[in-house]
Amino acid sequence: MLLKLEQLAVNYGSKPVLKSIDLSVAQGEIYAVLGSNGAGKTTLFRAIIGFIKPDNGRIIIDGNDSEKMSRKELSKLIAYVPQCHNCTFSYPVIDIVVMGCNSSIGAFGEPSQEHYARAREALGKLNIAHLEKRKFKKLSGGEKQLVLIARALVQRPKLIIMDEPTASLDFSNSINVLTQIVKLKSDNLSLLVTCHSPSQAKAFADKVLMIKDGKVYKDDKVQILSNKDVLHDLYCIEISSIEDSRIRNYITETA
Amino acid sequence: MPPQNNMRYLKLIILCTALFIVFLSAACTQEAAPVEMLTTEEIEMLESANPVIIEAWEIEITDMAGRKVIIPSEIETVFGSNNNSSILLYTLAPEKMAAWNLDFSETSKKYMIPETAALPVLGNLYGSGSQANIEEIIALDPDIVLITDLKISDKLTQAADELQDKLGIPVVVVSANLKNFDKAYTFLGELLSAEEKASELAEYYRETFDEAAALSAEIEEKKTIYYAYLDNGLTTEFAGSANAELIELVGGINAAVAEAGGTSGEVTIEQILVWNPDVILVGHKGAALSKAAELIKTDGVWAEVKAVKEGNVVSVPHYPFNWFDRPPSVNRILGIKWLGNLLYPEVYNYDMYEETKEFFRLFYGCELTDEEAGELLGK
Amino acid sequence: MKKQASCWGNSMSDSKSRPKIIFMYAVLGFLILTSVALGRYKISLSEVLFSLFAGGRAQEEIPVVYNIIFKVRLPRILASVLIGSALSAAGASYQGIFKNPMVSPSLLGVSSGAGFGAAIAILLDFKAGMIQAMAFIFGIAAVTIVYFVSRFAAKKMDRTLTLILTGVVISSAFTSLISLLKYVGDPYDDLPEITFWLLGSISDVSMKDALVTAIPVVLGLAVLFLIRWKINIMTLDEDEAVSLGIETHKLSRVIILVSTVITASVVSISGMISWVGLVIPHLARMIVGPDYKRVIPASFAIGAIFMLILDDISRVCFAAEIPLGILTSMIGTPFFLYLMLKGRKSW
Repeated sequence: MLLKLEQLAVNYGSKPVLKSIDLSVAQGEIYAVLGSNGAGKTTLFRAIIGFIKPDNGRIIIDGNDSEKMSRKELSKLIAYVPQCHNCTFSYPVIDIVVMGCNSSIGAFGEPSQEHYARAREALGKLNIAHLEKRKFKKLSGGEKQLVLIARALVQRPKLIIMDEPTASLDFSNSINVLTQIVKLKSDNLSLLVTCHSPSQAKAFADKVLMIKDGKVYKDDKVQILSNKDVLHDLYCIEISSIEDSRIRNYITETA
Repeated sequence: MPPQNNMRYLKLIILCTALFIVFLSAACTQEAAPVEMLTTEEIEMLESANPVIIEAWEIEITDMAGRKVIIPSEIETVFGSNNNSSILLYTLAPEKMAAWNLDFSETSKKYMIPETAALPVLGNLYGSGSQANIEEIIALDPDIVLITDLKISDKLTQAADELQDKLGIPVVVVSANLKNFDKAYTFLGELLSAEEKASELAEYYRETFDEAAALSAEIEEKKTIYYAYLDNGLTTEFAGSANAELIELVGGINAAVAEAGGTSGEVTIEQILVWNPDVILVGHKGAALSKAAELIKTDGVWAEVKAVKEGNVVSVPHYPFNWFDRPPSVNRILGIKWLGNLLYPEVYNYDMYEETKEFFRLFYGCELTDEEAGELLGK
Repeated sequence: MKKQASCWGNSMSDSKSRPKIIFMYAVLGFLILTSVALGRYKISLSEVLFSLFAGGRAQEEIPVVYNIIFKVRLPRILASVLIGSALSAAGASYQGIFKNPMVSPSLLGVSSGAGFGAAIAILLDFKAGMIQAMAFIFGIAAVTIVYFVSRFAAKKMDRTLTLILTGVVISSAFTSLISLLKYVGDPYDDLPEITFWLLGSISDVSMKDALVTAIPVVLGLAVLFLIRWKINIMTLDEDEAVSLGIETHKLSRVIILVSTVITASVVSISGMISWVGLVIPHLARMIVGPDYKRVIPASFAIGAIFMLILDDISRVCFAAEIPLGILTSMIGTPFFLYLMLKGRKSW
């Protein structure tokens, strides 16, 4: 078991956000994380990467309690792709990506030629090698997201957590990013990806984690998303079933 | 070593270094005293500079701070590091002056020896205000540099030592305040081979000072004085302040008493009305003329103050140097007579015209006509 | 300045920036030599070289020149280099960890704390060495207060913002205290002395002052140099930086500590010099790009060059010195306006 969450609870001040989350992610599993806004998805991710200390419960990564691990050790195992990246200074893409090598750079070190090569390799894998020298700020939303994914890959993690990777992207960019995410399956990486669209989730995920009221509502195979009662319970809306095979087709064709 | 320990270790080193520096700086301020340091009592009893001949061209003297300084046996040029020393020097040996510190007005220059008044103005080497460029002073190449303050202190001797080190020119400390000008003159007279002139000036001072001390003791009804010295008239020197000490010396009372202590500060017109001084003295900041005198005499708010009602608002004479306040050098000696005569003309019954002419001749090397003396006195 | 022969990387900025940085240090070296020869007392270049390389003999044969070079000029040159590099490096680091290109080293109150310490020392009539020590101590104390107050104020809140706000508040508090001391002080003696100190000046710095300051400054600069690449990651949002393996709180503590020490050290001998820490890092970025691998060494050099030029101007052009703080403002302000008008492209 790569990642195990045992009764994870996180409060903001006195207000509980996550009440008791249990989860097991095996190597190579792709999870889509669904829930309405404010359900606690981002909080969950922040707890897993060690940014927030949980108020209760344990996070066990690769058999070790994450609280006992240093940030560097954690970063060798888990990579994080944020929803948006605020750029104070206009770094070129390659410098952003090479930051992912931090886990293998000492306290007083800097990236070596080998690290830069690794960064280029990751860019190439995502078909954005041509963006190497461009300023990150000037890229389109989709390109930016891919760069951040490349940075995550450079960390050579076992698990990548992505927070709403397609949230602010238009349709074509979304497809592009989702395609790349699907390709990652072949590397035996585990993924935890937040998704605001159940349709998208079905495109790339094996399993789905639904969070409601700070607790796990459902932890099941992705097929469960076809059940509109489940969706109704999770999002509290009335929907009718929609045909989704065409969307799935889009992704398969360009992959 | 794991990287975290590196960070911690490094922080510790830095913290320790920082602390070390702090202690080092503090320790270094306790400078090693010069090899032979006299005690304060010994310094006070110093009658002469005790010159000791070293070479044919060098002698070692003990200055007024007890420092042993090696100076040339013949001194031709001297630079005073602040206005106090420069004025002292000017009255004693103007031909040996190398430069001034601060500029004066054209009017002041009228009352000074023309060649000396025309010397370059290079700024202060000690004390705040316009800073002299050290290299300029070195280029000036005076034989010695004087440094003067009201009293001897660690700060003064340290500044003297540092200056001497930087300039490569001997720095001689002189203590000169209202109570010991004669000692200062005697010391400098010996130093600059101007003993005769020095004893003349010292005697004049001693007489003036002792006379004022004696006369003031006999005055029963002391007048109260308020001293205003900035443009709005509300800034004053409080009782006990060294700047306004002439008031107490001649037997007056400084009306401005500060409960909280402090030497100077701003007061309100209400407070001045409470004090209701008999006389208001209006001072001048530096070379600029004060607008305060005009304000005080004409402004309705001040009209109720006793001094204004009785027409006793007097501007302090200030050419070529202020007679009453700053710079607190020998220019104040005449101020003693002037103020005494102003407040108690029957007790200090001087002919101020004659006194002014004599003082200017003796100290400033300037011959005055009666008219000029009158102008200076504000008549 | 220390410079490791590193940079195995092949980043885009490297090929162009590395020779630029080497050039900067060459200019600095040349400028230092020239500055030794510049001054109101005319000294020829041959006398300069003679004094520098044949010290003992020079002291005997041309004692006045030797004295000027070693007691008057070199201390100021050393001080200028230290001040310039320390303030620029501290400024660059703060801009990185606070993710804000508009911050300066005095953000957390070190300058106003130091000013307060100096003002007290002047009022109490302390010697020059003690004034420096008080300035240093209070500079550090101010930042310590800011750090601990902000720690109690913020639990799960944005630590960075809290630090900045607390810094502004404590800075103001100390500035008000300075005003109070100025008001209470003797207007003829203390007030002008305090004012002069605050304006910034190194006209009376001695070799001993400069060397004592050099120790913490060089150490601090070395630390900043060693961790410079990590600062890049600190410019990211905190959750990203954490996910990449950076101990953000520890690293910002180290940087704040080091920057405070080096800033307090130089402020204690020079008084308050503003603008340098804010503007020079931008200049550095414009030349070598935003990668801190380059920005830090470039800031050292450009800062040192800038202060050295200003000090030369102050020493040579005017008989009475214009305080350094005024000179830096006169030049810094228009440059800052230019940066703002030009837009954010430069960052």
